[in-house]
Amino acid sequence: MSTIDPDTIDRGILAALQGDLDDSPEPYARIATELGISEDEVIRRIRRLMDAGIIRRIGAMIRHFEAGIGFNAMVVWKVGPDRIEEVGALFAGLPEVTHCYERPPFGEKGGTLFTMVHATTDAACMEIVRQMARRAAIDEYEILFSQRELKKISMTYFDNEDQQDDWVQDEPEQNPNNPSEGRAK
Amino acid sequence: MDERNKALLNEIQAGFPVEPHPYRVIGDRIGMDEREVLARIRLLRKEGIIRRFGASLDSRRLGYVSTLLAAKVPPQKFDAFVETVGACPGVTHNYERRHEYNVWFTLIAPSLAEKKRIVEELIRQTGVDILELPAKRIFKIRVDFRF
Repeated sequence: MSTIDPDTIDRGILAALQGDLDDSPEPYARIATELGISEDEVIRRIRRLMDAGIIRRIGAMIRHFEAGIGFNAMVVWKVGPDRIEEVGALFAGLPEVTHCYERPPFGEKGGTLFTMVHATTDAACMEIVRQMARRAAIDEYEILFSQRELKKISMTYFDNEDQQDDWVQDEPEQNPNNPSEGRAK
Repeated sequence: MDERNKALLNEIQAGFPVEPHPYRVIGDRIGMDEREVLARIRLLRKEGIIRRFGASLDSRRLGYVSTLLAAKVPPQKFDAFVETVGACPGVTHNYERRHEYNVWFTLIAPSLAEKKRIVEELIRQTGVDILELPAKRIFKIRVDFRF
């Protein structure tokens, strides 16, 4: 994977692609027109940004609650450091597992391997989790079912530093008598 | 959802062609013409099944940092907490979960210092402690769903 430093034109392309692709038959030509470059150059640069891993993928982002696969469970597995690599790779290989990370110990069990499992019902999620436990021979895990999706958006890059400053300044102080006693670890 | 939409959704979540007529290429793969592909995508967007059609960028390669945060939010503070967290532009996902830690959300920020500032600000504004669980190792991020 090559590393590149996106220039102004690349940033223009990324800014266009982080929104919605035009739904005309030639969406890249549309971006080219906006940026005043050729379609060939847009395509060449997008491929380069993909090779560099800056663009992870291009395609449809699904709102899975609406698509009928709304149930997801976060499962936190207690896996010893000696097995984390092996079990992480095993779970990552399963199609029902969309995300798999090692994180700091969580909860009473102190699990460190976090997986997201998607299915059409809670029962189906449970069954997948049981199979995962069996395959990995792990009996200590905790399931956190989703109850409600409260927010889901795509990140806006490049111009959000200003937005975040605005956000902090614009918010009224809600708890003036309760300064941050808790501290994020 | 009909079979043709399922076939289409399976085809367009990743590996969308980077060439002049991408919708025609997709159509060739699943036996639809370009016009039908575009019409179905427009409808899926309208119905809200497709949230966005574009690129997913790697926040780390753009120099951003991301983290997972969790909180035990008591019922009387729940709505205010969700509102404050939801208003933060770097918060991309937020779920209520059936657990003592009942709110889980992801945050993307332009730097470590900025991330720390945002988390502290959220704690200050909501009066709720927030647990941070940043990834130490990534085994998989896959965002396409099979139909």
